[in-house]
Amino acid sequence: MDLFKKHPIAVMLSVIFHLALIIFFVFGAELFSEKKIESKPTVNVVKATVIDESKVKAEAKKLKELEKKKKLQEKKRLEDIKKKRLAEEKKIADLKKQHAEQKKKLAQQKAEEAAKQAKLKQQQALKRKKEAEAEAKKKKLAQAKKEKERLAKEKAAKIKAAADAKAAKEQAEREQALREQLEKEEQENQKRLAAKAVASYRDLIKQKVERNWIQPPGEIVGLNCVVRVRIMPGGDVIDAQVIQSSGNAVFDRSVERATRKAAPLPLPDDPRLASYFRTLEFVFRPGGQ
Amino acid sequence: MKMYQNLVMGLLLSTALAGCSMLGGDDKSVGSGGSGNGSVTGGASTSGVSDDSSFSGHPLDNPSSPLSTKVIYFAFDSSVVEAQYEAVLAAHGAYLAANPGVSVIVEGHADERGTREYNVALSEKRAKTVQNLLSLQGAASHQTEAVALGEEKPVAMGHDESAWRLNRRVELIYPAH
Amino acid sequence: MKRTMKTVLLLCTLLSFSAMSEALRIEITQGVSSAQPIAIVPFSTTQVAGGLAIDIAQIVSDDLARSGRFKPLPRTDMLNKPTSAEHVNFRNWQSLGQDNLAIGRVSSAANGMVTVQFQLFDVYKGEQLTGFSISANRSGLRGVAHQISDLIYEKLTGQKGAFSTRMAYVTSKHGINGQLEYKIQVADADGFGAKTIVTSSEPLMSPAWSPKGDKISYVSYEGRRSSIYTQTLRTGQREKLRSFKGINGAPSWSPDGTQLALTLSKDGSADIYVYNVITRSFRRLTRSYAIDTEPDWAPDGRQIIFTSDRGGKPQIYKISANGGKAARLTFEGSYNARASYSPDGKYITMVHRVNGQYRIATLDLKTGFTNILTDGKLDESPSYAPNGSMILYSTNDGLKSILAAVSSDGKVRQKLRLQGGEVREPAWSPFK
Repeated sequence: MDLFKKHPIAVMLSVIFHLALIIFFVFGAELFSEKKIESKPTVNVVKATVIDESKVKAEAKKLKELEKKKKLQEKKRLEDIKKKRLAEEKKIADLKKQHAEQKKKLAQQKAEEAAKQAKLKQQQALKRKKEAEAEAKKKKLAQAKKEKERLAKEKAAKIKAAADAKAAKEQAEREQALREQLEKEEQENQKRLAAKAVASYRDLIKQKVERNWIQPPGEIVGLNCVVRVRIMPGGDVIDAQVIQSSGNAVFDRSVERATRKAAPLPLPDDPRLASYFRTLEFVFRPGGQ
Repeated sequence: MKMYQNLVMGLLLSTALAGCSMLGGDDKSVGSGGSGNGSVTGGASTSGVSDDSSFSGHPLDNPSSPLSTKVIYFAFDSSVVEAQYEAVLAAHGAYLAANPGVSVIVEGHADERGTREYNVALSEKRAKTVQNLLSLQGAASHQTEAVALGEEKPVAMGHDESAWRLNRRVELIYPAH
Repeated sequence: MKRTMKTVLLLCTLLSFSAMSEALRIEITQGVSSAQPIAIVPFSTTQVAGGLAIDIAQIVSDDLARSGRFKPLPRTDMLNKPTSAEHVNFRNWQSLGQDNLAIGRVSSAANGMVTVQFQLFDVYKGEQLTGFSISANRSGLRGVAHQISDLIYEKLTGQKGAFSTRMAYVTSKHGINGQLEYKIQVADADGFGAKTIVTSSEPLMSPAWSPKGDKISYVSYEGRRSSIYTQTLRTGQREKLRSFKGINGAPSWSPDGTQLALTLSKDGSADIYVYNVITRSFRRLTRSYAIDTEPDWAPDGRQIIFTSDRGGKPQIYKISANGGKAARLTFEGSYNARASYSPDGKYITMVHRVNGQYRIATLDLKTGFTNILTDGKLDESPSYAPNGSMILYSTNDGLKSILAAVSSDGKVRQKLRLQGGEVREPAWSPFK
């Protein structure tokens, strides 16, 4: 590929010539196959009773001349073919020659390039060497300096290391604490979100029960009744039980009914949140707040 | 005059007797369809026919006399007798003063608005005001009796001012004459 | 430092876990104050020879609806009509939103009597609340229905039912002769079975029940003057109180049945007097130049409220039954009259005028709050039911005066259908 880049025209020509060669070889093959020449014309033997000798002779002469002509023609043809072949061969040879020359040229060029490159490289190498030497010198100086510094540094570093180690330890501890703090905050955040979700569902449940509670008539402000309700995951009531009576049977019955009538209670889809709502205790306290 | 007085007295007494028997009331059970206790029945009144232009009937029935006016109307919630009736009451007072044997029931009424027993008391106020005015004109206390009927006996059955104003009244009820 | 942090965290998580397993508390501070849904299924009468003339379930349904506390389910909405417990499917009634279910059966009994059985169920809990079996004559079946209404009412509200009570009222109608005929009648609290106790061609007013419900006092204008009578219902016998010149009116029985407060104007203007039924003596209670009338006793027998215009316009005043200084009770509006106490003594009902219209209102004696219950123009004569849940009163339907009932909170109103002419001045009987 580099070659193509360097000598594009040469390469292309080379390719084209090669292709032409190939084509010639393929299609010109016909020219080189020896055709079998029909040398014997079919003669129809005619049975003649009286034959004019002169006619026959003339005929024979004609025939002979025709044959001669044919032979000559054939010879010529063969010669032509030969000529052509030779020409062809010459052409091929020429092409080959040209190709070889081209190749040679390319190779030469390549060689020249290579030589050039080599020279360049050599120069560069030289340069580098020089530089390297300079560097080495420099380095040596620096190294010496460095060594000096190093020793000094080492001393300081040792001191620092001790301090660093201490700081690192503290840092690690701080980071640990921060991690723990973040963890805690994360937990609290989760808890807060959960609490918020719980609170909003709690409100929904409260409203539904309130909607379904028909307050008994008479003075009910000051009465207090607690109903414990167990809920199924779908919000259906498993059972409802008065665990703290108000002392008023009608009031108790009305609140227990409200919790049953409000089923199915609205529950969050998230089973973790829903687990907060397995058992509910409704505190019926009319007039409270 | 004396004959006239006697006639009146006689009529009065007989009607009073008739009234008394009914006033005693029926203390037995009255059950369903029981007997009602009737009011003082009126008798027939007569008047002579003459070619005279002067009225020859009972003065209480004389259409050109203020005595023929026997109903006094009142403003809402009021027992004040309006000026327009002063002459009427003066005439009745004078008549009673002149006829000590005659007595009149001063019957007070009220319109339907408000509570019934309070309206009885209100109508009594009206009756008593009229009663006082009659005494001022000379009627003796035994001649007038104030009776309060509240809204129980309306003359107009509507539920608006055109009916109510007719029911806020005091009626002067003289015995048959 | 690290270790303490860890332990703290552990504790926190532990606590949060324990919170999750605890019951979640939810405070309920209010509900709705609507009527309770109840389904009263038509009672079965297949076991009664000859069927029944009355529809017990319908009477119960009407009673409960009239109280304002119940909302009976229309029969057309019932999915099925069970008459015995084994045919009750609570889910059906839950789907109809019915909190309560009443079913019953009537069957023939010996001696031409009938037995009525009924059961009341809590639909959401799926259990029976109460059940009774009552025997009665066919003629007493309306009374049985009202008894059932009382039992249901009491079970579901905790208050005594007033459906087996009666009411007295005044009617006036033009008789055959064209004259006005006045009557005092006594009927069931739902207006059925009216019986006339007195008829007159002169006005009758102010019927007042004795505390035992055996007598009614009233004002009669027979003889064209007012006087007070006390009539014994069972016998029809009556006694006329000594009447005076002027007004004899507004009788009101004391709770112990020994005294009658009333209005007399014999000493000048209308004042409140107290009549001792046993000694037959009169004692003057108020002295004013104003009109004092329409007395009513407090349930404890210690106070009497009355109407007085001593302040210029009619307002309600209170005075000790033993006499003394009167204190004003009503301060809202320019006309308050004809007040009577609720059976618990906490409220009074009265006629209250607002914008020229006369309406029924209640006054909360503790808070002073006046609640207007009706919206008519000429509403009057309010009378509390003996359980305090409803008020009977007189109103005008545009054509004539009729009776109506309103629940004491003003939420439900019902007109009563009564025969005959103008109907007014209802007085609700005490409990039997």
